[in-house]
Amino acid sequence: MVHGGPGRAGGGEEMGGIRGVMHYMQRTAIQASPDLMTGITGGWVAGAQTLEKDRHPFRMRFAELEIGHTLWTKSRQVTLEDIEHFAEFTGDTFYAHMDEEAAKANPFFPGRVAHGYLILSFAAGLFVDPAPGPVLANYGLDNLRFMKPVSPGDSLKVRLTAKTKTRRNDEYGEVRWDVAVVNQDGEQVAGYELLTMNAM
Amino acid sequence: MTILPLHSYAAGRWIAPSGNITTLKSAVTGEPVAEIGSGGLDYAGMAEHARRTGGPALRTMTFHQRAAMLKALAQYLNEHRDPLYELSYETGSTKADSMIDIDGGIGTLFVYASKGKRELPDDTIYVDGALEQLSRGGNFLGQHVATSLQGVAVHINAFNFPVWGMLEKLAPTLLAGVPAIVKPASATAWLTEAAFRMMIESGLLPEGAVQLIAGPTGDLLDRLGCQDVVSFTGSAATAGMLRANPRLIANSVRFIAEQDSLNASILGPDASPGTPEFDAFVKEVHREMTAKAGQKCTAMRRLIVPDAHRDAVIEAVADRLAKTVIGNPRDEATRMGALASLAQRADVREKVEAIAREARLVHGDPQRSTSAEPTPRRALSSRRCCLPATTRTVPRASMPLRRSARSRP
Repeated sequence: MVHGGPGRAGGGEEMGGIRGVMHYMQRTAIQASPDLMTGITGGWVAGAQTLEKDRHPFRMRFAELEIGHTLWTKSRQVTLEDIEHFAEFTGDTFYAHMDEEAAKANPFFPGRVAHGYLILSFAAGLFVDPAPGPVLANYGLDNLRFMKPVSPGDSLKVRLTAKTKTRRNDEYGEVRWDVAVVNQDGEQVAGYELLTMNAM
Repeated sequence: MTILPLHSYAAGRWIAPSGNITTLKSAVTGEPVAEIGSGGLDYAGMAEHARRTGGPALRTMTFHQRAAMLKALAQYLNEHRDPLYELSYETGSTKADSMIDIDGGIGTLFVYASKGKRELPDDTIYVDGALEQLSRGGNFLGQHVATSLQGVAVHINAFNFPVWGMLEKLAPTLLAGVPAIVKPASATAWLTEAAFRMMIESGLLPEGAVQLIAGPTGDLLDRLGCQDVVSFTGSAATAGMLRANPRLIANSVRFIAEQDSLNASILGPDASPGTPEFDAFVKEVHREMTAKAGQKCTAMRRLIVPDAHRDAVIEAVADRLAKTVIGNPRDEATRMGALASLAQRADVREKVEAIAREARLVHGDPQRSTSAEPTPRRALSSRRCCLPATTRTVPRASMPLRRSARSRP
């Protein structure tokens, strides 16, 4: 339920918010290739062309940033020391990260594995561009999934792609980035949408 | 008082009442307030004007631009709204009632402006839901999108909220990029016309985005096609008649109806007299009966109370009603104004009589007219409170207090 908005008369949707708007719109189902879909919706979809450039996408102002602009990071190996350090530092000593025998008994894990949040943290460390620039803030992430376990010795690298842009005001706008974390075999281990606020 | 000639606004021109002209009367005094008649309108021309001029202009704007337009419109109406209260008194509304209608309607514009900015893209296309992978390799995808209908929205509005009723439909329609033809209920149309006139005077809406029919809609519904929408508020009987229009059926014209709202409020057995829940129930019942003289779509039409609390509820509600000052809505002491028209009063009396055949009348006299004025020419609303003499027994299991939706049309 949406608080506010029109009554039932406002398009047949009591407390329906934007649902009321849809009564005055035509819904169309589109079947298309990833490139055509990106062209129609204005949002990058998986499989569509990516644009790799010399400049890091985080150096781009909101208006300059092109949908599809992509960064592939270098690789980083995840060691057992990394996992133990992260566990002690954060206090997250869940057995899947700390106890080889117990982890093996779990149907999902081959043995001790890296924390999901360690993967996320390493991913940020790989794609971030540290100097002050147009990226004003990271303000969240959506649709996070951990797809495959990461074992000690695995290497991770990240693809960061500008997915959609939504202007907020004259000063800044929201950029939604499609993020894929892949292992040394090219298998995706994690995926999510990162949200940043970028200066105009 | 000057009798207002209610103008229609068609294809960029104001058109004076013509054809069969009806005199509209004050809900308070019965004096003529306005004249209405739309016999001279070119209805098909209005629909075409909306489709050819209004629609294309709105569709060049993104959702964010349309949202900004709604916000500017809301601000304009907010600054210019004072004369509307004066006209609203003649519909029987007290100042508090008028605020629900006028301020509430403007508030809805603001809400939609804000939602459009935050929840819709700065684009003309809305992506609806997630991508569907149609081929195994992901090289063939499916996606639903929504785009503006390329037709006209016909808004047929009810008498009870002359301003809100118009604005709550215009907000989502204009945000969607669709032009509208507004047809207010005649009984209170002078207030709608005044608010509509302000929207045109604001210069904020593109030409053809909104038009007004002050009077009957003629053959307009017979002129609609598959990209058009009819959005109706009123009785189920009228909705049923309109939606059976062969042209609407043949062309699959979208028909949205809010009709004959039916709301109940249920008192739980644990909310016994003396509890805050009991008091809240009584207060809410009283408010629903008196705000807008009970003419709200969310007004409670059934109260279901445990047998044990029945007499206490009747007594408490009747007590509150007895203290409610009914009268001329212009009088500051008045807490409950008049029904919107004499036809409404006749309808209420008829319904009270029908209910009273099976139920006991516990407060008021439906045939007695009350007024705060010394020599009323016409009657004001009747105070009424009918509760069934027999109530259904509620199971003993503890039930939470239920309250219906708050003050909304």
